[in-house]
Amino acid sequence: MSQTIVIDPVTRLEGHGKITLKTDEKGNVQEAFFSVTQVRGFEKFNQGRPFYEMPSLMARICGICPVSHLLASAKACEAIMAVEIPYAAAQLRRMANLAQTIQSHALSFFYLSSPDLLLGMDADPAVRNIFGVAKAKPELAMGGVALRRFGQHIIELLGKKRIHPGWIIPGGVTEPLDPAKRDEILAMIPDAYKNVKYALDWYKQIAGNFKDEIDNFANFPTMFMGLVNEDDSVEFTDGALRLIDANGNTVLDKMTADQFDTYIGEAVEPYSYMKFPYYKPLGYPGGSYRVGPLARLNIARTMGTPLADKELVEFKQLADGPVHGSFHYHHARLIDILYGIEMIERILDDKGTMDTHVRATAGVNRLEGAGVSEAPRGTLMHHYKVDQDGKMEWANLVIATGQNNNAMNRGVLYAAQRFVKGSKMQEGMLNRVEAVIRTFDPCLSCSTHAFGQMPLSVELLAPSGEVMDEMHRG
Amino acid sequence: MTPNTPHAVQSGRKLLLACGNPLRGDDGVGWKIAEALEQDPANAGVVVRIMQQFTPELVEDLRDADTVVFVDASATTKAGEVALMELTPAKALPRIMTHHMPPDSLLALTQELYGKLPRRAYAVVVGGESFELGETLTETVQAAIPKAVALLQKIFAGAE
Repeated sequence: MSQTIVIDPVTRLEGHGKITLKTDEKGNVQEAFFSVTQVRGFEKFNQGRPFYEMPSLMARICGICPVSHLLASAKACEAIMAVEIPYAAAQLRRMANLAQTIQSHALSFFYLSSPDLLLGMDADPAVRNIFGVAKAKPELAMGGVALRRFGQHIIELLGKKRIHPGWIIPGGVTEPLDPAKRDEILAMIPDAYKNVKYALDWYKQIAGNFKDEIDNFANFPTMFMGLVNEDDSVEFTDGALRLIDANGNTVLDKMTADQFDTYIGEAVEPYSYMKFPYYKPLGYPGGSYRVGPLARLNIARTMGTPLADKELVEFKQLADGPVHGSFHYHHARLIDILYGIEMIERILDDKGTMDTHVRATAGVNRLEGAGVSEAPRGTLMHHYKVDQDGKMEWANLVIATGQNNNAMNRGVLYAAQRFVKGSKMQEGMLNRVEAVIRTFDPCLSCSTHAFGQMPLSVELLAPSGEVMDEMHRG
Repeated sequence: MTPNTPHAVQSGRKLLLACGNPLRGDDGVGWKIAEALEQDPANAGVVVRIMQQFTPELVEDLRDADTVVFVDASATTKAGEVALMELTPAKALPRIMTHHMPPDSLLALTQELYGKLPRRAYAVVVGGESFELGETLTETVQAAIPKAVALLQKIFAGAE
C-alpha cells in the first residue's frame, strides 16, 4: 500500500520544518518534500518605514544570526547613502560577523549534530541530545558551550546585547572598541583555540564511521556560491561573489550585491514558503547551487590564516575537485570556526581597529541599494528600494538557507530512498532523513520565517489521505 | 540601560537570570525587574544577566553560583501575581530543543557537565496580562515589580 510519511516538526533545527515522504505500493520512497509552513512578512511590513530603520527591523528575523542581517541590511542602506564606512567600523563589523559565525556553528555542531556523531544515528532519542554528549564525552560538550559563549560574549561586548545588538547601523557602528574590551576578548582566545582543535581532532577520528551517511547525505554535484577576496581567500563580510560549477570552474566572478538579481532568480514551489534561488542563465532547477561552509571552502583557494589553511589543505583532499558530500558541512563548519578565531585575533592586533572614527553619515543619494554578507549558513542578500524621502517602497531578501533549498529537498529524497522503508518506520531511519537537513544547518526562522511551536508527529497517510499509522515524538 | 554587566564574563555567587521579549508587552517584565534590582546599590553583589532566552552556555554561570534566580513573565499565572518556585534539575529533556533551554534543563546540564549545582535555585515569575506588540507593561504588571524585587532581595540575602 502506498503511504505518505510526515515528519513535523523536524527536530534539532532552527525554526520549524516538515518533511513529507510519499511511498509506492512496495514502501519505497518515491517523492520527498522539505516544507516550511509559515511566513512572517519581513519583506512586506517594512514598506513606508525610513530606510535607516531597516537593520534594526531585519535583525529581528532571527535570534541566531541577527548580525548577518544587520550587516547585509546596513550595506544595502549604505548603497542608498552612497557612502564608504570608516576602516575601523569595517574591522569591527567583520569581527562581529565572525563571532556570530563561531557561536552559530558551535550551536549547530555541538548541540544539534554532535549527538548523532558521538552516540550514533540509531541511539535512543532519549539520550541522543546534548545531555547524552555531556555524559559520554563531557570535554566535547564543555568545549561547545565555551565556544558558543566566546562568540556570544564578543557580540555582547561590541553591541551590548547577545541577541539583536543595535550597534551596527547604516554608515558604520555606533561606537568604537574600548581597549579594555579588546584585552578581554584577546584573553579568551587561547581557550577558544583549544576547544576547536579538540573538536577538529575528534571529528576527524570519527568521521570514517559514517561512510554510509557521507556517501548518501545530499552527495551530488552542484554549483557553489560565496564571497571571496581578490587573492582567492575566503571572505565573510566584504569581497565579491563567485559562482563555481561542479568541477570547480568559475562560472561567474566578481559579482557585486547590486548585480544579484541580474543573475539570481527565485522559484516558488506550492509546498513551501521557502523560495528556491537559482542561477538564471541555467534556469530552474538546473541553476541551483549551494552556499555555506562547504561552498566557502570549495570556492576559496586559501583561508588566509595559517591554522585554517592547514585544515583546508586536508579538507580539499576529501575529493578531486569540489567536495560535494553534504555530510562534510560538519567538517567545514569547524574550519570556519578556526578561521574566525584566527581572524578575530588578527583584527584585534590591528591598530586601525581601535580608531575612534567609526561612522559615515549621509542622506538618500540613490533610490536603490543592495548588500551582501556571508551568514553562518551562507550568502545573504538584502535589496531595498526607497522613495526620495528615504521611505521603504520595496525589499527583497535572499536568504542563505533558501539557496540550499533545492539541495536539501534532493538530499531528503535520496536519504529517504536509502534509509526509509515505508512499511516499517524506525527512529533511526527518520533521524537520518532529518540529519540530512541538519548538515545544512538551516535557519528556517530566516528563510521563511517560521514561528510558533508544533508538536512532532509522523503520520503514514494512504493516497486517499486516511491516516494509516502515526508516531509522536512529543 | 545596560542589559548585562560588561567587561568580564560574569560569574558570581548570587546570580539573577532574567529573560523575556521587551517588545511584547508584559513579556518584558523580567527585564524591568532585573533592571530595577540592578539599579539599587544595595544589590551590588548580585550578578544580573538579561536576555531574550535562556541558552545552554549559561551553565558556565550556574556552575559557580551559590544562589540563582530565574525571572520571567508567565502566561499561566494570574495577571500581576508574583510566584516563587523552587527548582530542581530536570529528569528529562524537553522533546523539542534547538538553542534555548528551560531553567530546570539548564540545572540538569550543569550537574551533568560540572558535577555541581547552585545550592539554591528558584524561579520568580509574574503573571502577564497582555503580550501584544509594544514596549510598555500593563498597569497590573508594572505594579508587581516592587513586590518581585523585594522577593529577590530576600532570596539573595540568604545567599552565601
